[in-house]
Amino acid sequence: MKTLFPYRTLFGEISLEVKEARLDGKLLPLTMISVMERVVALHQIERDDWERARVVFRMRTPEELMKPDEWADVACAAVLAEKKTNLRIVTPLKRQPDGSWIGVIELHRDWHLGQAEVEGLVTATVDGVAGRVIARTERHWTVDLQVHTPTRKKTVKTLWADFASDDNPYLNPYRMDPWAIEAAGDEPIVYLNSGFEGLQFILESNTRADRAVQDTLAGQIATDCWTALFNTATYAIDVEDDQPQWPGGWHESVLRRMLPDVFPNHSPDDALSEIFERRSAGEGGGELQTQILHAAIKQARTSKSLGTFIRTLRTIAKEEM
Amino acid sequence: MTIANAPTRLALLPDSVVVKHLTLGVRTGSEKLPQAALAKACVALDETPRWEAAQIRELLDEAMRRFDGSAPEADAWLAPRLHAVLRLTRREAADSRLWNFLCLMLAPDYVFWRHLSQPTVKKPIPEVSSARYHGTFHIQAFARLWWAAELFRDGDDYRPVEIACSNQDMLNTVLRLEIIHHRPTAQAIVHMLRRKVVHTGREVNALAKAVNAAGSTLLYEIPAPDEIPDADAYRAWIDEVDTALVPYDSLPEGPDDGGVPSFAVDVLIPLFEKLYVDAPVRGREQASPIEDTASPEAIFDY
Repeated sequence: MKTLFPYRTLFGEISLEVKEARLDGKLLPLTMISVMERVVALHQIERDDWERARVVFRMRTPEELMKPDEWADVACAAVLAEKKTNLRIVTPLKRQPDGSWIGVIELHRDWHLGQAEVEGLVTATVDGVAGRVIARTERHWTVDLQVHTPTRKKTVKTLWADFASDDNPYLNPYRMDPWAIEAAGDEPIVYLNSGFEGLQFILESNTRADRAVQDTLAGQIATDCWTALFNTATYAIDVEDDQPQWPGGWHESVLRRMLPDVFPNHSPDDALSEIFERRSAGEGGGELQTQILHAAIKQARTSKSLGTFIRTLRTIAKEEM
Repeated sequence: MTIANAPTRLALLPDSVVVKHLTLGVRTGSEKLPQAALAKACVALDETPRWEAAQIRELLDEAMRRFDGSAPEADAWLAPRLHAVLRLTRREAADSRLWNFLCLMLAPDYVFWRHLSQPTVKKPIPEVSSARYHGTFHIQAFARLWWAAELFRDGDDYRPVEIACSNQDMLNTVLRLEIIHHRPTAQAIVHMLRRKVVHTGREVNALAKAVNAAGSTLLYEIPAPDEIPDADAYRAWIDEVDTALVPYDSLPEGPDDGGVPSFAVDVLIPLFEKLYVDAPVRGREQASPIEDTASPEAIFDY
């Protein structure tokens, strides 16, 4: 959401980059920092017991900022926040001889769980008020503690499990089903039943003949999955001051991806209000379900999403073996 | 009432299991939770003394004894003590499965005692909202108290927590606002509450909303910078869990990870007072008896 500023803000663009990252003093390989995706991956399989990470951020600002008659008390800061742990740390950035701004953000493992977002801000004293935000970076960086490759997570976690096993009592009721979708937690999970005869064989087979079956099957799992996720996400919409709010987390990602297909003629915010109204009016209308299914199929059949889905199934299967 | 066979150790209870068992019967008290089935679904924690359950269970029993008949008042007493007994990192506290366990396995009776709604025309049979068992951190019965203590404490000083938790709107509305993740902001709001600059729930809401709105264009950290808490000191405090006894009649000591700089709080208070004067307070102008319906959880509280 764009904030309307009741005062003059900086015109030019500011940018934020990661200069380096260290885990307990050890330099993180460059492969764990993706400039394209703006993700720093802090999960290293070799060292899961790290205590603190230091990430050096560099911010670049337009020259206009340094004109002394334009802006007073200019300060730059990097703001790190993680919603799940209610943490927010503001690190001042120091001006360098080359005109850029640099600062170090320290993360403690105890304070974080998943993804922390980092944003760059420029402040100045405006009309006698100190600390007015006059610019902020358009794209955030994500510091991710869960992944070991720096990509933005787009796929749903998939796990093989024997639904009939005593180790998985919560899956026991579904022991005859090929797959089950759990959407109640912080992260949705698709469970594939390794006890379902032939399923694992088909999904992991590398022969060309099985490929068609794989595609169909993966498409069907994906459709089920998107439908379930969408329905769950609609229940995560909260209301504040009579306005439905985007729920954050995966709920929000799913809604943002699918609402344009459910209500093609609405803006995202209007679509959110519409789905919320339909839900609270208790109008479980058939027409709406048709639209949801349509959106789910679209998600599931998009060749890319399907491809990723299958790839995920395969990599996960390898990891679990 | 103490439940029979209360678990002796804490564990993690997955969300999916909770959702399945929170039937209307359970929420209205006509059905018992299937403890055996739930126990089977639990994920064990490590074997350190940190996860012993007895102290927490005793604490909750004591709260029910002390505040019988005035359950909402238990929040202010319980929040700091729960925080001091259940010594968690934020990383651990962000795991909903632990809170699920407390609500469904360790103390479903407490949740019932504290959060049973009043009968209304629409819902004549009183029930506990399922969000109290399994919900976001600012609504879930125990998570809200723990997080309130974590976010409103001033280093090892829990007094601000007592003040914050004595106002239901601090818990229901303010707790979820990101502005209070800046510790001086949280302390400044508590200070205004303590001095009764703001008093009623509506006033607290109005103040918080004004501070929150101004925060979208104002970086409070610039005029009021905070110190970064000492993570090692916090760890040391966690490690003392098995030797520390949490007192009932006086406040326990929190983690000595550094207090909030008082000058930062002092800078913010006049700023917030100014914001508050200009803020619309529901019902301050017109004497309308309509309750604030925007936060549905408030309905369950009285």
